[in-house]
Amino acid sequence: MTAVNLRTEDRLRISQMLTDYATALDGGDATGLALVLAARLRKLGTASGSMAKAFARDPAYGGQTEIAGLDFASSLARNSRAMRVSHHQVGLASIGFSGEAAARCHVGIRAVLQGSDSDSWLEVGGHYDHDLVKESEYWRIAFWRLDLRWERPLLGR
Amino acid sequence: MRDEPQVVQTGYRADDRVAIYEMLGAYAAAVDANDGDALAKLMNDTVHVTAPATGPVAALFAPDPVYDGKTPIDGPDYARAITRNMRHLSVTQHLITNPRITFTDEDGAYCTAYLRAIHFIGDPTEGIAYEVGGYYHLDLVRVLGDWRIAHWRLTVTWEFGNAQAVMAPPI
Repeated sequence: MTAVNLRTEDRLRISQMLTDYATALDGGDATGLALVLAARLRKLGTASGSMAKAFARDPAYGGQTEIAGLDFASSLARNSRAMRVSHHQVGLASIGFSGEAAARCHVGIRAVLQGSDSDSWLEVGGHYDHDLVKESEYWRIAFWRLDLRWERPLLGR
Repeated sequence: MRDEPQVVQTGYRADDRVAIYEMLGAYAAAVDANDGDALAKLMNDTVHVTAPATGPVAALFAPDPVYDGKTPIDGPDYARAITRNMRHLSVTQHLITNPRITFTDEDGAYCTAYLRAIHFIGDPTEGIAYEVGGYYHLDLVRVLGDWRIAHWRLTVTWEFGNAQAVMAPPI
């Protein structure tokens, strides 16, 4: 195994960007989301169970398309604001660099969700697997991938 | 009292901290991909293992029936034992957060981190789940520039779900 290519500042900036993404998403903050998305990006959302049906209904998440960053940010924020609870917890990222301004990051995600018109809570889990580009000193998502691999209702609340 | 090492703080060492964060992220990715070879690269040649001694989670981390818990075992073999014990699961997710690192010397560190791990058998949208929470306590060594696990400890503080249903069948 070769030594990790550290690029400490880049790794810290990417980790911060992932935290900023989750915070903006949970806050329904389209402006904050737009800051971490490339001007145009590709996206691919995959899931199973009820989330697969939700993805199929909402092109903001499901399928692979190319979209303007601002439009994607608006869709994500709008969906989040429609939730009573949106709480995304990201794990530690595994990051590989493919150039001075390109990287790919893999990070686990768990989220607790509650719809505004529902008393039921749902927890989902999976991972993000994003391609990133560096613009000035900011890392942004150029290919947004989300693979939700499990879900379960949260009971007893 | 755990057998924690003597800790000597030797500066902040940002590069080493980032390398250790990366190693923890790669550890979670390897376990969840059930990739024993990738996990083996994160282990020292020999590792000590202090797994939960009792309870259902102990079976997931049993390195070998004859392992006495005192002598080190082959690191890559242990990595493959972990993935082998989870081979029958449809989905696992190990979410590692809150790492805290202290350096014991130039090529040694002690790391604690929170763990939340969920294990599914069958359909992960309807299947049986077993979840544990707790802490890793890891002794790390730097070998040829890479940080690797030399003493793997897991403390489980809570568990939830159907443990027996997700246990590995005998080989």
